[in-house]
Amino acid sequence: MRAVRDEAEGAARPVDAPPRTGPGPSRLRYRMQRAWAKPGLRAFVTVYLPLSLVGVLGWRVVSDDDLRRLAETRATALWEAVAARPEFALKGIEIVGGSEALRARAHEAIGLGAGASSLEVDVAALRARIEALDAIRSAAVRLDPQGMLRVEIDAREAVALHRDASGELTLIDAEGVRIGAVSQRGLYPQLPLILGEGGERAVHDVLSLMDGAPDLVPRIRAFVRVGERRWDIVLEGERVIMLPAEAPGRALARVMALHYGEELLDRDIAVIDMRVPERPTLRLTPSGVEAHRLRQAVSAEGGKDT
Amino acid sequence: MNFAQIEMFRAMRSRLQTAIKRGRIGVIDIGSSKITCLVLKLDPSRLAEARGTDQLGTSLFGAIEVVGARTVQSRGVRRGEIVDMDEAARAIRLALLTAEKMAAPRVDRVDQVIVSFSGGRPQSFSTMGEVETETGQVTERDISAALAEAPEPPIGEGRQILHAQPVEITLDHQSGITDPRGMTGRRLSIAQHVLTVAARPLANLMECVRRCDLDLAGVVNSAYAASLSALVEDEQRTGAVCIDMGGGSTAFSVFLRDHLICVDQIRFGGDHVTADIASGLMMRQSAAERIKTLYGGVIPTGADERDLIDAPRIGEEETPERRQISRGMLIGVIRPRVEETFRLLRARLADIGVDGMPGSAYVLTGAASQLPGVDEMATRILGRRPRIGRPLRIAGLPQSLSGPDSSAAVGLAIYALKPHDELWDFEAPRPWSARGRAVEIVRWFRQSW
Repeated sequence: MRAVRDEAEGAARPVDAPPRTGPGPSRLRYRMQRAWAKPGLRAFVTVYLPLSLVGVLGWRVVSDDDLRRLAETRATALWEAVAARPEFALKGIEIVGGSEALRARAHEAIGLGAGASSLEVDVAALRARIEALDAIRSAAVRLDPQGMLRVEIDAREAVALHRDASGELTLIDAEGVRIGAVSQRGLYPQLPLILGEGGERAVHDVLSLMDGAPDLVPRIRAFVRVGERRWDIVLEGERVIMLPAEAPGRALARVMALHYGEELLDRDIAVIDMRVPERPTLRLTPSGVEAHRLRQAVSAEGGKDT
Repeated sequence: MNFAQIEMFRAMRSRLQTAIKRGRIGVIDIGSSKITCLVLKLDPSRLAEARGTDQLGTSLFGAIEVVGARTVQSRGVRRGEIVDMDEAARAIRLALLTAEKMAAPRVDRVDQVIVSFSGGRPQSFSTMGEVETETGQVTERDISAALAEAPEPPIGEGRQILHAQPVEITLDHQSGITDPRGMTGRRLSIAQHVLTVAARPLANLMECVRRCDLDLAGVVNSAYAASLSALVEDEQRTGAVCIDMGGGSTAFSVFLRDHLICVDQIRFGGDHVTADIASGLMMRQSAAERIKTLYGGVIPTGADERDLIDAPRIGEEETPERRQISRGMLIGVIRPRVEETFRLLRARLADIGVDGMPGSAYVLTGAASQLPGVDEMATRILGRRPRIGRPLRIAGLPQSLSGPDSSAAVGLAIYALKPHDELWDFEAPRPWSARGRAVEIVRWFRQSW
């Protein structure tokens, strides 16, 4: 039976018939290639199908608690394994700028040591942490490809001491920003002391007043801000120069002129009131009042005599 | 004249419209020795604009660009007819796929193709229809009626119409009208040129294209296609004979006053020359084809006897002492066949009276026209100096397809774009047309009272 069928097939197409030699795609291959040439199908297979598969898988993981937990632990483990590799270890921390003490404080604020994983370094957060230090105006933090964490610090410069209402003594810079607490005034004898409410917001006034009267500086005990608008300069011996709110520098220059001419500040005067610049007023100390009265009495008598 | 396959041609036209709308179409020239596939990118908006302004379609060619082109060896085709369906379909698939691959970044795959058909013994007839115009002014409806009125020519058993185009429009004895629409006149007569081919080879070709999963948007006689690209416009107007010398056959088409008026064919072609060389000199077909294309010629010269050509006999291709023949000997083999072809051609042209047509140009095109000296031979036999017709340059056409051998492929591209005036492009004169019944009722009243 089989033989017969074979024979029949052989008759239909002789075994030694030349094979089809012509080049060209078979019908199936041709159809597949033509179908692939359709942009719709190609987009479906290469974009939408994978996307939807990922979507379905993702949804399954998210919707199933056990699966999600498993995926989370796996992912964290993988992350930790990668982060812990020595290739990603931090080689060191280099801090540039500021004083030694400030650098130590910045290092403390960074809170990382050599050997921590550089993958977990968040330079933006580190920068925020360093800039949170009072004594630092701004900082640049970068992680170089060799694994060094480089920090450049722009430190604030202390120009004055400020004592607030509660009696706490702080260092402030020219913008009046608090830099740090100070236990005794004597630690910074070269810095002026500022008192009074709002005084720290007008540090530049103090600096310009000091610049305008360098001879006065050794005598100054403190600058007192009065009513957040004008200054009193307290000199040694509890003497006070009251300056106007407008043009205090000119008023002070006048006081200094008086001092150079009349040695005003060496006299028994408690208050030099320049609040009305056109009308400087002096208040004598009690002993000065006494001496003045005495002198007036003497001169009155002398007048009588002559 | 209303025949059975008219609906088929109308369907092809609608597919062509679809292809133009999609902006891409393929054309496949299926010849006996090569199959050329071009993938065209169309610009539908420019096409519509150009068609609106230009009746003759001369400015259309900026709207197309060849983005993919491929020529493969033809298999399973003999004398322009399919003899092995599977092999031919394979070759077409190969040509189309590779052309599409070349075009891939520019256009998506093409679904509609126009193919050429060079077999089926084309035969030309002419027929004439005459009607009274309905309103005294010629409308599209009158033209359809006149076309339909023409009696069907005796095309014979087993034959089918491939082209049917109006060639001469006469309105009240005024001839030479190119577009009668809107003109005033009473008697409209339209002469048509009808090209018929054998039905079975055509059906085979269509089946072959169907096996490639392609929509057929048109079948064009390849001699007609070649003349569309090889003849310049002036030649088409003043009259020209385009002789398409292909591999399997030599066909000619006659143009006069912008219209194709006759197509005929001689069943000798370049392949016969190769066969003559192979059998006459006892060589392999491939070796014969090689020496024909490299050294062949038809006009002997003084230097021929000194030029020696490697012409190995069958079986001695690899041996060191191969036979060598002189070029003169090769020409001696080639020449009689070409001469015979032209003599037959002359007889045919004399039969239809073209040889006496004054001012008509002869244009040789097709691959066999590249044989050196063939124009000289044509001058001697046909009595008029022909020119070698290269296809019209269209954008993106590769250099390798700009020779006379690809004028049929380029002509197919032009056929796809040019304004169509075949019989089936005119609306069928039906009593209840889709244009609205009210219009029809008004017309009926007018005609009846």
